[in-house]
Amino acid sequence: MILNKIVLLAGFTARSQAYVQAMQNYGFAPEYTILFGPERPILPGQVEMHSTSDLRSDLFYPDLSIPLKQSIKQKQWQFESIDCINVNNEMIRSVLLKLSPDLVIYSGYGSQLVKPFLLDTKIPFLHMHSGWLPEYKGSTTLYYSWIAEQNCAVSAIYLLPGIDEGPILLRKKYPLPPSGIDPDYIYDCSIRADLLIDIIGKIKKDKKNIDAKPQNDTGSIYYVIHPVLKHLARLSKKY
Amino acid sequence: MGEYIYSKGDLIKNPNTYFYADFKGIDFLHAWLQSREQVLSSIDVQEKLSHDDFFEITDAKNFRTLTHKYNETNLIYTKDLLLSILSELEKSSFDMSDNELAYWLDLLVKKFEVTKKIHESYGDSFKAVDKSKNRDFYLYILLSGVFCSAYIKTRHLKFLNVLLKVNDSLCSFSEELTEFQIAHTVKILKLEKNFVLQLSKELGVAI
Repeated sequence: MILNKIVLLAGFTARSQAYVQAMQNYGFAPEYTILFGPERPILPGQVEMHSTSDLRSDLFYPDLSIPLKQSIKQKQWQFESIDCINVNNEMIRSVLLKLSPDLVIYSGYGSQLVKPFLLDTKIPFLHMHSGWLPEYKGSTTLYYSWIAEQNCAVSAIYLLPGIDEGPILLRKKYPLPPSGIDPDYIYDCSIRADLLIDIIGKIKKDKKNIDAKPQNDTGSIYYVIHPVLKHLARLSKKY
Repeated sequence: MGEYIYSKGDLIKNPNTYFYADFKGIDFLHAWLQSREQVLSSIDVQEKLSHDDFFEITDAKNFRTLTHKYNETNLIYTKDLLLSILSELEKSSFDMSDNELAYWLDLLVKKFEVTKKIHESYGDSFKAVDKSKNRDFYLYILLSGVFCSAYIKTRHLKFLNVLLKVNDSLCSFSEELTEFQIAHTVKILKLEKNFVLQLSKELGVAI
């Protein structure tokens, strides 16, 4: 099923692989896909491919041994690649303005913020944040929530210039990653993809974008988790 | 046991990013602990602190007067700011509802998390007045003390997270510290160890 007026803007990351494979698993395809950034892993969020095909779970886990472009070509999605490192790029902006979609599903690189340069186009950018908003803003919130709450969460938001400040479409809590599942590249990407599929299903059902509620001012911004805390989470008995 | 790499080298010139750190099991925590113990054992504490306080903060400027003045002048000296916050944390029953103190603590967390440096003074928009003045080790010690105090008062993970990073820097230049600075560093590292061991106990991790 083609998702009319919906564009996927994706870097070459594990998260993008998860989004694409999950959409294909549920029979969805964006009207158009824009790929950007380097195909070989040099930016945060990129990883050497490895297979996850032997995993069993209620969640859909991506097979990271399948390159992003291969999945897209296999299902004959309409796409183009833009040769740039940063998402805040004139070519990307001009393609988006030309396509004028109702929604951009955004899957960028870890260290890049989408700037007003793109957000001022007034095209809503849908971002799946791996944390319960507004409480857990910022980076690696999966781990902070793991330590403090013994669960994980994803919040779907429309991007605003401030870090994870956009209005919330949907939120969902998830159990801790099952033992043996890589939290960074597999579980984090899978739970984001899971909520994305819920959102797409809702958009298809309602035939319009989902209304979003502004966040209140509570919550903290978190920064990249220190390896000591990351190890404490992963070694936690409750894991 | 592997090597703990995050407190090696000149972390002011070449800061860690901590992005996607590999998981290395319990050995990693042992390596971290051993690395911190090595710093503690290698520094000779000649000068004992005369009291239980972190710092001699009796002459600290009033936090609210200082920060209000910054709003007018757009200039604040980091030593004054950190001492005033330490003093404030000592005397008040701080909680996150103290908006002004929470604001400044968050600003310091952000500043260090983003730059991994602390500068002599800050001007407009809390930007460093002179970017080259970032090697006053006493400021790193004071900053670490502030985050220790904030974590004791709140148990908020954002303070423990940034504290671990400041202390990586402190350990990286431990051989350059003065006797006075060493005495404070010892206290800070012992507190940090207690924080981590307490949290590991709560999470059921035996280090």
